[in-house]
Amino acid sequence: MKASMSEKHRTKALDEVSSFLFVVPYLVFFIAFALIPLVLCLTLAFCQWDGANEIEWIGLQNFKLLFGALGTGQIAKEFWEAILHTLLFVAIETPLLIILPFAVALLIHKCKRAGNFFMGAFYFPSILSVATVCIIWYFMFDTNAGILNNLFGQNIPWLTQQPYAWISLFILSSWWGIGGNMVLYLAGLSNVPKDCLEAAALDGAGPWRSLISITIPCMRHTMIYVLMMTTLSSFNVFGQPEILTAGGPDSSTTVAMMEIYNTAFGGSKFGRACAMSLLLAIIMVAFTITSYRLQTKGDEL
Amino acid sequence: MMKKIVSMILSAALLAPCIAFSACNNGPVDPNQEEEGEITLRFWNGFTGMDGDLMDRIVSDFNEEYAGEIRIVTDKMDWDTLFTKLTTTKSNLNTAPHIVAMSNQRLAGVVDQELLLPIDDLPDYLGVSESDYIAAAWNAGVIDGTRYSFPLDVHPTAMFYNKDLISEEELPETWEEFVEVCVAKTDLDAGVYGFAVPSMYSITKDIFASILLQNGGSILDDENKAVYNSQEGIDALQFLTDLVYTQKVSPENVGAGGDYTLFMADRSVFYFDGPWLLNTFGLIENWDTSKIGVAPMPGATGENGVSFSGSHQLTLMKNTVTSERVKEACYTFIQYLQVNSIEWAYAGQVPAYLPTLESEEYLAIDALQPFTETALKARLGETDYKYFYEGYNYMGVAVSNAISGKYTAKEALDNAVRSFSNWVIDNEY
Repeated sequence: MKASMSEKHRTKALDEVSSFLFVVPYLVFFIAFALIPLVLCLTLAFCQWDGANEIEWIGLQNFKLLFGALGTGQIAKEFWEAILHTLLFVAIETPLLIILPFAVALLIHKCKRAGNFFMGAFYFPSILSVATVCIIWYFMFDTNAGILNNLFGQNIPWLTQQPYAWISLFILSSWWGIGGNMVLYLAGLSNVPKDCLEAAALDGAGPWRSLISITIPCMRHTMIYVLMMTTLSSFNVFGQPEILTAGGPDSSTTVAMMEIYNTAFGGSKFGRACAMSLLLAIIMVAFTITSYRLQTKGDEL
Repeated sequence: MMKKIVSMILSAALLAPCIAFSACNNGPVDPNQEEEGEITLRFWNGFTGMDGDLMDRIVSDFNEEYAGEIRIVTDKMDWDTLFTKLTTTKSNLNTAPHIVAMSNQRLAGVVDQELLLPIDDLPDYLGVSESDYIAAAWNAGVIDGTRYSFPLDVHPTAMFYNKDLISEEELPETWEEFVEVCVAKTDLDAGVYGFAVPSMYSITKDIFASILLQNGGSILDDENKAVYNSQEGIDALQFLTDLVYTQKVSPENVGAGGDYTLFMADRSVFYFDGPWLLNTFGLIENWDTSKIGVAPMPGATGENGVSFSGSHQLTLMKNTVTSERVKEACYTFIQYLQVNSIEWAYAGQVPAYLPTLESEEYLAIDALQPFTETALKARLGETDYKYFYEGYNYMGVAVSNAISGKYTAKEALDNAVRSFSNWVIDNEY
């Protein structure tokens, strides 16, 4: 009896050690490539550093500058305008990337035969790099020689005037992003219990009713995951406006990430860039927590 | 005290990866410190186009000639990456470059970061003086009385034209003639325009800067305040805007690259760009048979001709070029580039070295002559100011805002000047 007890203890300890060992590689990478940079970024936000010379501790100066409490307010204005542009992108692109892939996934799920073909077709853009996507759409959007305007005999200034520049970015980003979320939805859809759907159909529920009352509630967790990931990736928008519109016209599509990038790598103000990314991170966390709370509110009932 | 400790910890943390990686190499920190043997020099540049292939050829010829003594290892990357990596690799003697090519517009910013080695003795080493070089390019390397860079080339903007749409006799030499020709050639029914003026940040700002100089204005004044919103500047921008909205020789809303697309589709007579396009168009080999020709920009040549241009400069890095022996190896390479600068001409660049420009071989390259004429009269702007590049970019936004019809020329330029001067104040914090 006693022997088996100690053996149990030993196996338990061994289990703990071995499970820890499985985590070690991840932990090492996490510490090296996430935790240390994060701590450095947090500290650099209170410093001045041009990337080459000595790092100087300047306290809250970067933040004062970004809130317009120092200087002329020009850098503060440019930064908050860029944050607003990012928020605009998030506010419109996130719903698009939640609803459109869901609709596509539903159609593909229903359509048994051609389903695989459409799944491939819709997923294809997701495997392209942002530069490729932008080059493809650049030839579509060009005002005077572009494919879209020629096809429809229009003269729409897709990339040079607002609101078209934003519309172009939304079209491109949606085309690019549908595939990834669609796959997640398809996985969720195949997990919706068939018997529930059959029971609903027997009770006389139409397709719309069973979508609202059975399918969507059953896919709640997939949807929360998609919402979180899409919101975070929309906040990080960079490549599309950088390549397609270069932040124009009149800096109207200059997003926060571009401002941060240019501050660090064009302007060599790494401390200020860290302060900017910290502020953006705070906004992102606030956004994510709020939307998570709203989504999971029903779960507590 | 606290500040000092935090700074030290941070510096240590940021340098740790560099040191760790150097340690992995198991070699001496800087092999070039040895007294004898082959010196390896890293040469960084942003010549990622066809010019880069030719630079590679020059380098490999050099390596062959100096085998056993000096070996150049080239690293090509886009310019923005180059300037970022310059600062971040500065302390890593196994990866940091020795020789870096850069635009004269970025030079003062890099000097301000204290990355460059003063090279005041280079002209004596090469046995050259100002009279051997295009003056603007020669002087661009001197900041506050110290020479930090040595000129490689000048790359002005010139006027490409479609020979199917215009004959050589009809080419304009002044902007007034340019408007007349454009009006005459624009045929809206056929969808053909005189010149598509891009409204996005692009070559338009270089054209604007050239007209500004031709009008007698300047980009910055003696105290480095932006003054491109002068009457000369407003007139220059109004002129470009009128091409779109008054004379209608350009379509509206030409995006970045839209001018090139229309030109290649035979839908615009003129197209402005730098000499690097000569190879893209195959003009150096097929000058007579190509349907594309090139001429100087209006107002850029002749007695009072002037235009805005850029110049590639060669610099040495302070942290890696630490001994006389390494410095001399760098100078040897720069001398080789000077002596063989005709090779660089074939890359579609105007060498800054005058004896090359006067050589028979160079004069036989027809396609480069319009650029050469322009380069001899070019000005490079007040690039000894560390924020010139940023000021020039604010100016670009103004040009784009006026041409897209968002603001009048005066509003756009006033906004840019105000934003830039405020930005300079803020950026000093």
